[in-house]
Amino acid sequence: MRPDFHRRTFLRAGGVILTLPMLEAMTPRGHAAPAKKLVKRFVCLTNNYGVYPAAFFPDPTQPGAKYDLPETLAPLKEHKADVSVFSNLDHGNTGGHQGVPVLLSGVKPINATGFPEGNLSIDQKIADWVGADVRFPALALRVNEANLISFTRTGVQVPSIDLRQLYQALFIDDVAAKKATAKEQLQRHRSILDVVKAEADDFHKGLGKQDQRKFDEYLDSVRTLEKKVELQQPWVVKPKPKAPINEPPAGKGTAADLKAMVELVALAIQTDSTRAVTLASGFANGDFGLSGSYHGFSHHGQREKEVAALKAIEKNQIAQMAYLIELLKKQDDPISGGTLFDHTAILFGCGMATGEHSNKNLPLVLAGGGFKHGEHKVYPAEGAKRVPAANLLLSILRNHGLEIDRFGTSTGTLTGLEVRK
Amino acid sequence: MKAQLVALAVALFGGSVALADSPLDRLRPFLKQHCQECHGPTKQANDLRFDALGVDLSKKETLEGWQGILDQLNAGTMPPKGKPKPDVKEAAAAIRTLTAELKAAYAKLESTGGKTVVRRLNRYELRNSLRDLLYLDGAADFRPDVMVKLEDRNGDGVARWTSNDPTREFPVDDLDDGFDTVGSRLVMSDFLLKKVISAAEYSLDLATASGKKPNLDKQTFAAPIRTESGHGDLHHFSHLADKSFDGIYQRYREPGASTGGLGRVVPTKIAKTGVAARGRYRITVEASAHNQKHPWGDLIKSRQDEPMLLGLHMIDSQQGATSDDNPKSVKLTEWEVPADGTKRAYTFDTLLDEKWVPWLGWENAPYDRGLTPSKLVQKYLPDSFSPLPKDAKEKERQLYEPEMAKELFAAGYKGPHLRIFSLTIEPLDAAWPPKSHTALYGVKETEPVEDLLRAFASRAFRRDMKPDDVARYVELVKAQMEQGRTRAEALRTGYTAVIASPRFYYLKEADGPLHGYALATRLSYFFWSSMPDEELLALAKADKLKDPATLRKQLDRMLDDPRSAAFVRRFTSRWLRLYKLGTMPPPGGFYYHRQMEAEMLKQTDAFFAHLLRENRPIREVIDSDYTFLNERTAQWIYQRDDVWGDVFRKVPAKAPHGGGMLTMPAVMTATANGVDTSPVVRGVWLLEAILGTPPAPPPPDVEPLSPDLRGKKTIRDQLDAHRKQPACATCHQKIDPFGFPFENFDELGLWRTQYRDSGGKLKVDPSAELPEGTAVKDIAGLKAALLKKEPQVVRHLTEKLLVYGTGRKLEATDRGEVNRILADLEKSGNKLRDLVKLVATNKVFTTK
Repeated sequence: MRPDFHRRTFLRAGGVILTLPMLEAMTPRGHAAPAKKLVKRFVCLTNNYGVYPAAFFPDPTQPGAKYDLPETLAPLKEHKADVSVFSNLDHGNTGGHQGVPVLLSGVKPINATGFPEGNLSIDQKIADWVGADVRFPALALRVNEANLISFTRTGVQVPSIDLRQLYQALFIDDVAAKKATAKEQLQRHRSILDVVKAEADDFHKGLGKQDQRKFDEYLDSVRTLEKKVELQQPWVVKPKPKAPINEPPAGKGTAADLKAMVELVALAIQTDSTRAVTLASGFANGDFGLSGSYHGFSHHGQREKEVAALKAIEKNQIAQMAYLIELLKKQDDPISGGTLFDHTAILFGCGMATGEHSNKNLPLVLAGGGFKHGEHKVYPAEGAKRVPAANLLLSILRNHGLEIDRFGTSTGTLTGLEVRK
Repeated sequence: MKAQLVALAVALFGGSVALADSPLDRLRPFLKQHCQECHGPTKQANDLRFDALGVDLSKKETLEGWQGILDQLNAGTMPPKGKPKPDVKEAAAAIRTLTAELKAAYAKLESTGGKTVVRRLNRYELRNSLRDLLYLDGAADFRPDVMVKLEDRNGDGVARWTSNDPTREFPVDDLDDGFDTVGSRLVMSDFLLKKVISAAEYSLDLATASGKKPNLDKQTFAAPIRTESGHGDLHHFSHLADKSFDGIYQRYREPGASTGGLGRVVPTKIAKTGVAARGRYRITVEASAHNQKHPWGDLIKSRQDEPMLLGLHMIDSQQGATSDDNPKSVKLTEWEVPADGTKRAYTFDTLLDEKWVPWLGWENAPYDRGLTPSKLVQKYLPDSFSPLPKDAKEKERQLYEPEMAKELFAAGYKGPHLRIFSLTIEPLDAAWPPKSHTALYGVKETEPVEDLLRAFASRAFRRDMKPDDVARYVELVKAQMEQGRTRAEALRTGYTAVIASPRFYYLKEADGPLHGYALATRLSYFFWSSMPDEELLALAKADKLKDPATLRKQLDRMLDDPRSAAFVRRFTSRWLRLYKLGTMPPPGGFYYHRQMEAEMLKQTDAFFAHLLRENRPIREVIDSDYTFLNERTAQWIYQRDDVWGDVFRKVPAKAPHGGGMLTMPAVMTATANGVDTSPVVRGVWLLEAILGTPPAPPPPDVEPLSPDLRGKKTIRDQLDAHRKQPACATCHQKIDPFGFPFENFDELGLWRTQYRDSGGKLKVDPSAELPEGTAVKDIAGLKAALLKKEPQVVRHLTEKLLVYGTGRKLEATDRGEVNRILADLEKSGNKLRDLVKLVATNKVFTTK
């Protein structure tokens, strides 16, 4: 029998301690991954304007464990031993804002054709690999900002969902009628795809070589979608985990919304609803008592007020990373053992380094996932010796269990970033 | 004989002979001197050996090798510290050679052999095609100027969908050099296929008439038409005296003015519901105009020398039919009403979407919010005037203005105004269910599904279908019915499959010249971004498009059709890169509350459509003695007060903005980042979009300029410093001069002579010396210099039209045809409509 668990108050008064309910009872039964394989997750927190570097990067002359946490990273103090801060990693490109979508692929969309997997981002790479093991192989989320970093294999940007949509997706079961409709819809789509596939095969035959190569994309799409429709089938009828919290109110400003979002992310991981998350956050006019726009602040031109605003926004993003670390540390991982934090790699970063459109030396902080942390890792700054940030992406993927030797522009896994034994 | 020798040589020595005189070989001495000590025969640092590096750039490894060398040279990181550096000039020459060679090699890699690659519809074309396929014209979210995007309405960072466009959640299409019609670039994914299926289902639902027959009777709203209480202006007060008309005394205001819908006559009875069904309607208005010339000019500043213009608009009732801020309002037409007091009827036929409602406004009316009845009475009827007592009670206060108004109207209102006596809305096709429905399910709804599917597929696949061609779909529908689905449900499933089929979603052409259906399709996607209509398909079927006279007639018909708005909006946004508008919007301000983004695009549309309609010289893109403005744009950006009304009108161009498209706010905003401007960005834009000579991309490793906004240095000072570095100089000498003259326009296109936040300390210096040595003083000087480059501008525009129309990149082999177009075009004076037609009939366009 499944014991009734007593759900403890989720948020204690004052919001100091969030206790996640027990995982076992929450996990949909019969759906845990095989016990021997470690299940890993990946979460990326990002923004679209980079950081104010002077307050973000530790002193370059302080590599290793003994470094001073800079102002923006101060909220990570408690977890300093469990995070790695990187200096001098980037994707080696220019183009300011065009760098933002490159964070998790290392490949600019415009150069995608030159790479075997295009500008596929690692969250989607993980999603492909996870397949139908969980309800949402990957989730792209946003708080007051577009999420620009998740790309499929064919270079299509994955649209993101907001706080409300995430809550619904995770916990609210469709009503019976809607479920029936959804089931019917899947069946209908299957029949449609059958016809479309036959049509596409005929269409393909009538094409010249060059056209056929291009049209292969469509054939691929039909096949993949067919597969996905199949994979989706069981999830339509399977009940969702019960909602351990009430739906958080949305639209309460970036600080509150991002915090609520981070809590939902923790719950999504805990209920094994997803294995990869990207979460972009921004700024709404009035947040933190500031008026203006994020983009405006990012063009600070060294003006005091703008710089202060930027720091406040960024510090909150780091504080929310710390909060996620805290939440996951408190929770045992019944699938992989240890805590959820041990098996969840949390990356903070942006593909554009600064609001001044530099794409050099990206802000990157990694926590959890079973890596050895605690250091400020400084990589060579000189042009010829620079290490591509894609090496970090490859390390994360390898750690996740993917047996691959290359990802995007990587030249290998990231030296100096080791896995805890 | 010679060919044989070459063939022999190739056979003997492999491919290398043909490439023996590659310019890359000229770099050998340079490499030997500066690089090969470490990357040569004796030592191969980083596994790189340059003396063995080939010159066949079609090999990927070779290409990568040379690219690596170029990157290092550009970055100045090699040779490393402590080794002698090459002379700057020498390095620059090497960089130039390498850049050119690599560029050509990349182009070759991307070449499609001068053929258009089979391509899918981009999302805009898909939406328009669904509209035409399903007879959804008139549906508000399918209009050509409705661009789907997440929009931040007020700059608070929270973006929302502003449209129910079925493609709203589609990912953005990939661009090739700004164009989203290039087949080789448009990717497909399962994710997108799923979206297409849902868009099809959504649109089919929209086309299906459900529920009972709505009230489609003719409805006449006789005065008083707008009756809700409390809008408290003269219009409202006039009902106190005379209910036989709705008077319009003031101009309605634009978004952000929050006047509570003053000056808008909306039939209150349907202001919350709009019309009951989407369809074509005839709108009839009975109106008269009074006192164009009047004695009250001191207080009422109307334009007494202009005829009075009555405007007809439509608005989405669900977002407030009388709201100034409702962005879903479209101007339909305007009528000149002779100010002789005679009642006349005006009619206009239009498509109205469900829940939309027509409204009326006086377009060139005066506006003065403080113009109260008491003021008028005090000045012109002093005998009837009694001032409001200072200690008047609230109730007395409320009654005061209405009392004064009564006096005013009793004595006879002498100010200018329009009177509206009635507004009639009459459905033109009152048939129910509408065509969008009967086309899917038949009139009797018992027709054989085979026939319905064949008719549908013939339109969807843009060619005549035989019964066999649709067998699969028929089978699908029948199977669905056998599984217990209703006929309508089963048919919808069949239609969804048709829409998801590559025969609809892809533009497929056979090699060689395009005939019949293929040509009709290419033409309609060129001009309408949509499928061919019945007339084109009929001509295609009869193979009549090969007749030049017929084709010319069709070109004119297509250009004159309202659907060509798609070409105007789409092409300008691609060519001038206006699609960047909104990607980096300003932090706040009037850009939002006056909804300027949409206005900016309406302006470029109006100007370009005028060039196209009137066959104006292309040089007017650069400069013209007229421009198009509406009141909002004139006031907020051009700082002109001599333009009135919401519609963009042709008005004389005035300094400093002048005419042409280059200094229009859409361009200025799209080439800035919402916060500040950069001459580099605008210089690059001019080189790319107007002159067609894009500069080399910045070398990797170059850090962007970070402007110091504390008021110490201008961007010009910083760029001057930048240009002094020899590595930067070569490119920036070509770029920056084209950007400086634009510095007088801020990030929204407003004129400025000093930089903001500098306290007047930093003046704008718009002067520049163009690369060929011409000195220009300011933007007017730049435009004059550009006019001398007209042939180059026209050539570039021609090439862009061909790319847009064919869906492929141009290749060296197309140059002859481009020259042919240009020669013909010059004979008739380089005019836009001529050019578009020459393009549409040129071999490049009419061949796969």
